[in-house]
Amino acid sequence: MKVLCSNSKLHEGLQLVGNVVTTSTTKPILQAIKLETVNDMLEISGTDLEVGMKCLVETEKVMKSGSVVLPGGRVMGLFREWTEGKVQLEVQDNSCRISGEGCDFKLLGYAPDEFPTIPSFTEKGHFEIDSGKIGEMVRKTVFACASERLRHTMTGVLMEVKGDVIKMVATDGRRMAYIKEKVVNKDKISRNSIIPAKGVQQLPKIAAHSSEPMKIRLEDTHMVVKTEKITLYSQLIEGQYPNYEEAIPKEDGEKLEVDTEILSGAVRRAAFLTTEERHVIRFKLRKGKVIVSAETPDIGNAEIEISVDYSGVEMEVGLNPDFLLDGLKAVGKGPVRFMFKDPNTAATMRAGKEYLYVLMPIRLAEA
Amino acid sequence: MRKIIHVDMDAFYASVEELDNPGLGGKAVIVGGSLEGRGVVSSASYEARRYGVRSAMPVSRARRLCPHGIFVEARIERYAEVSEQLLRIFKEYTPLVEPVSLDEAYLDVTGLEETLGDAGHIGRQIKKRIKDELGLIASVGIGPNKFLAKLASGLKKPDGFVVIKEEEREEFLTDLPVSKIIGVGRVTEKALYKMRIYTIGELRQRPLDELVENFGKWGNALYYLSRGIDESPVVAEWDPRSVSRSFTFERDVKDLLAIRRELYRLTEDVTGHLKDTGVKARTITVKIRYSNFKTITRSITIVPPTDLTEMVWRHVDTLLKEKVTLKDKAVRLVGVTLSNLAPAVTEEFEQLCLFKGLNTSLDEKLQRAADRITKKYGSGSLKKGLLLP
Repeated sequence: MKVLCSNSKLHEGLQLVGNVVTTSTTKPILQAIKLETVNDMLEISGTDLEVGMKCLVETEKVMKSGSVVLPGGRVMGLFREWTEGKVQLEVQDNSCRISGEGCDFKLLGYAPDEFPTIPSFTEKGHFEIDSGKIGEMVRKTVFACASERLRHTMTGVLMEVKGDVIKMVATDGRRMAYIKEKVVNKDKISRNSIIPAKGVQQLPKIAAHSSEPMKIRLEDTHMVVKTEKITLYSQLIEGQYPNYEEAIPKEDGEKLEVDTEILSGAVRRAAFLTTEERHVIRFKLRKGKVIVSAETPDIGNAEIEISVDYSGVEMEVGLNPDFLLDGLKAVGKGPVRFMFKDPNTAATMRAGKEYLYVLMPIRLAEA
Repeated sequence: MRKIIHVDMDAFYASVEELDNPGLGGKAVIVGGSLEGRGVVSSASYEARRYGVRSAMPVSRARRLCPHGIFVEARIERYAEVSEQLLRIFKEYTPLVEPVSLDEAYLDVTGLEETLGDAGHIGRQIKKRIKDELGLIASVGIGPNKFLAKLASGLKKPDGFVVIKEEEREEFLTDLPVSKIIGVGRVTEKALYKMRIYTIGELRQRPLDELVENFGKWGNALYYLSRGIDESPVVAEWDPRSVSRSFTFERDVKDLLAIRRELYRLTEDVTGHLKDTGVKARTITVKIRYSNFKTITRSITIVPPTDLTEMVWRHVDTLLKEKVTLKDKAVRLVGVTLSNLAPAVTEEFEQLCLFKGLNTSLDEKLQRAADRITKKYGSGSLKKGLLLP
């Protein structure tokens, strides 16, 4: 392989692929990056076996086709520090000579055939979605995944495709984020797949590099995603996802609307008076207002009043401020609509038609 | 006026080794963390100390100072066992026993004159019993507070017995260097030297304001300590910050099953302890020491806190599987620590769960059933499959 390419383009591709390359593995090959010529392009790939990515980068010139596998950390580090000018990559046996702009490196690599194969995208049986939209969907859900490996299925995001609708759900059992969007589903795909958080998190990143719709193909054991220049592979999580529909309460409770930014400011301030043991704020619903409060023995009390249009039943609901803030952050700005039933039943927070966030309260001690 | 006894074992680890291996008696015994010379000395017999060997000194240095010394690897489990026996003796006199470490404890014997005799009498008895029943030598110090009691036990080591009476306390302290005050380390010592204060007597000459200005709250304490005044109580049981158990394999192991079995036993042990003390843990830590003494710890913090064996075990097992590299590395010691403890009675604020059956209730039911079986048929009647040979 002998290729001439711009450092900045190489850097961009390496950065993207670097997101999936793991640093904490005993297998050096999984910390490696593969470079391979594909016609007049250079394909950069990396994988930790769970998630893999291939990214095509334009070259100035391919003098000789071929491939090389190099230690990822060193290659990525090098081009993070060297984004200007042009560079020539030339493979000699299993090592790679990297030269240009007066620099000359020889980097020892691995045997290319040791590098795991990352499955390619096949056209048949996929659906398409606007890149920006899928990025947004991920951003609004993935934070709610469980971080504990115990509830294995909940460490991933549920992707449900049926008809022209895609739904994504993430939950850790105490709160749940749900969003739906339109897709182009010519092949009439109908699937429920649980995608590991790491795989899902790559979607907004590759979406940012794409202007065309993203093609997604869900298999029994894995997902393959394709944009113009990028292929993403992710294994799926096997198992039964909790029945999320059952956890969504009917909209027959008390409702109120409040501005996202005003509320998150109030919650953040009140949260300063909570402790790790009592990480709870109270939502006090009163006529014409909602009071966000924190009451912690030995610390103090906080009350922040927000005027709202409310004439329902007065009640007091305990919530984890972090969970609430996560949801508000996902919405960003504008109004959010809350629905509360009683202090021991799930509350909902909605923004627009498509976004729903379900919050399970914290049972409060009777004062 | 209070009566405090401070018992400090002389060359504790080394003495226990001599006890267990009579051939070592009177020899230069040096107990260290590692035999390959990487560890530090944790205890040295008085014979070894004659050659300049001290605790916390690198084993390699100790070897140079005392080449004929007998170097023994530390057996903390064994020392802990002896320490338990010591505590048992102390507790026959008073429940107010505050262990400081395995080889050191404070006893508050205030008001026991009528029944057990005065502090001096109790102190002598304890010292004698430690020698007769355990075959070990302790230095005993008695004073009107913890500071003076500890000072007293250190004055005539080894085999010391010193009583500081309340009326003698200033006299006792006057000529001692400031470093004898508990808590005065290198930093405070340096600062005091700068103020031209070298002895406790000189410290006593300084006004309270000056000390507070220089040391804040600590200055206040220094002011009173220099007068032999220390109000700190003997605390028999304080909130445990963590519960920790570890196990050293007789021979280093590579077998994953053996490692998991031991970790499971330790998990049972620590969770059992939690249940006894009525607290739950938020943070679970697994410790692995490889044969080359490289030690790693891996932790996870969970919500909500738990005291359930199976719950903790799943995390321990997951940490082992995902965060620990065992591949071909021999393991010497494994440990489980539960920390970040919270009172178990947090029912008042309970994070409710979105899905039925996903909370800990199943684990809880299992645990309760297991506890009932064990109660009825005795411990060991119910065993995890993992532990079966």
